[in-house]
Amino acid sequence: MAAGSVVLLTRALEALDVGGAADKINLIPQDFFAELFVDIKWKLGVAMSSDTCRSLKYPYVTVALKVADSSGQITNKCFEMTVPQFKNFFRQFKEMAAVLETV
Amino acid sequence: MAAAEQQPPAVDGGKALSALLGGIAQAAYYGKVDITEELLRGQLYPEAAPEEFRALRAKMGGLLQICSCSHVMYSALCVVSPVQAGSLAESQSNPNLEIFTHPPDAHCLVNVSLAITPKALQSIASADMDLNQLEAFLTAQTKKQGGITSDQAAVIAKFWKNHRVKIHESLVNQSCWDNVLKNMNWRVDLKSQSRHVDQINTPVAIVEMELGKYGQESEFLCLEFDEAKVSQMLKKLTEIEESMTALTQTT
Repeated sequence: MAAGSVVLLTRALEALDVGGAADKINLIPQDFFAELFVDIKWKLGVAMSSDTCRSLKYPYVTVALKVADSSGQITNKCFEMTVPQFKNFFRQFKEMAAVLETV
Repeated sequence: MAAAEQQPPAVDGGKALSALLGGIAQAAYYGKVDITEELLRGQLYPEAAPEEFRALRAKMGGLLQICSCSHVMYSALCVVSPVQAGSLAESQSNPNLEIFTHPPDAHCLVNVSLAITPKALQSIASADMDLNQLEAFLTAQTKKQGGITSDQAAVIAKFWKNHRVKIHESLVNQSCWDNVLKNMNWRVDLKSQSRHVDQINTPVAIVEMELGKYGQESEFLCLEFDEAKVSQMLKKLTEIEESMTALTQTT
């Protein structure tokens, strides 16, 4: 959580109620400070060989998630997934979409 | 030496040996310094004399060291019945085949990695041999001077069949040095209040992703997705899936 947003938040809370801003901050759920998903970039590669294994031959996808924090600053979060990991990732988002539709 | 004291019955022979290997691995490879020789002996081989156990432990430790020389922690030791061990001992032409039997009438441990060279076993893992390749490789080994017998080849084939996937997975993970997605949780919330009136009652997905390198501390990323963003994500993930399918079809 960026330091700046804490200051803004504190000020906003103080404006609402004279005392107890610190207590109120503790009541706010952690994901209030969730970052916004902006975009995803991806790259598919195949690891052919390594020093410990001459025949790796596994495909993997590298993704870069573009996210924006509460102050609007954009950062890239990168990580790799093997095929089974990717399939699970995909499945979770499909489930999410299904739930969002029904709510 | 005085007669052995009355001790609680020993664990089943084959299991005791497996447990011993596990204990050695914990101490030698995972830094569990409190697993002492005395602890292992008391728990697994209470009726064995200390010197006898020490010799067994040293032998097992040495074998595990050979097995782990390719940086993969697996045991190239197969548990066989005494009958199988006997037939292997009789038919084998390699004087280095070692059979460990402790206690004497329980299951025996056949050291496969000494029957073929550690390098050959490493070749199998490194090449990630399929069953046809393995058969050809082992047949070639049986024809070599001082090579393995067809019985030993059968034992090795059985071992590789059982362990291949796990070993390969281990090798794959060892060669991943970037962040991976270790875990992911999500829930869907309904925004009940907002500065912008039009956002009321919009469902939003909150996703928590645990990112980090294998064996290192994780970063927890908390992201918010509305319905449109989830659609955008699904579109991109579909592209990835299509690429993966195209790739596996051509290889």
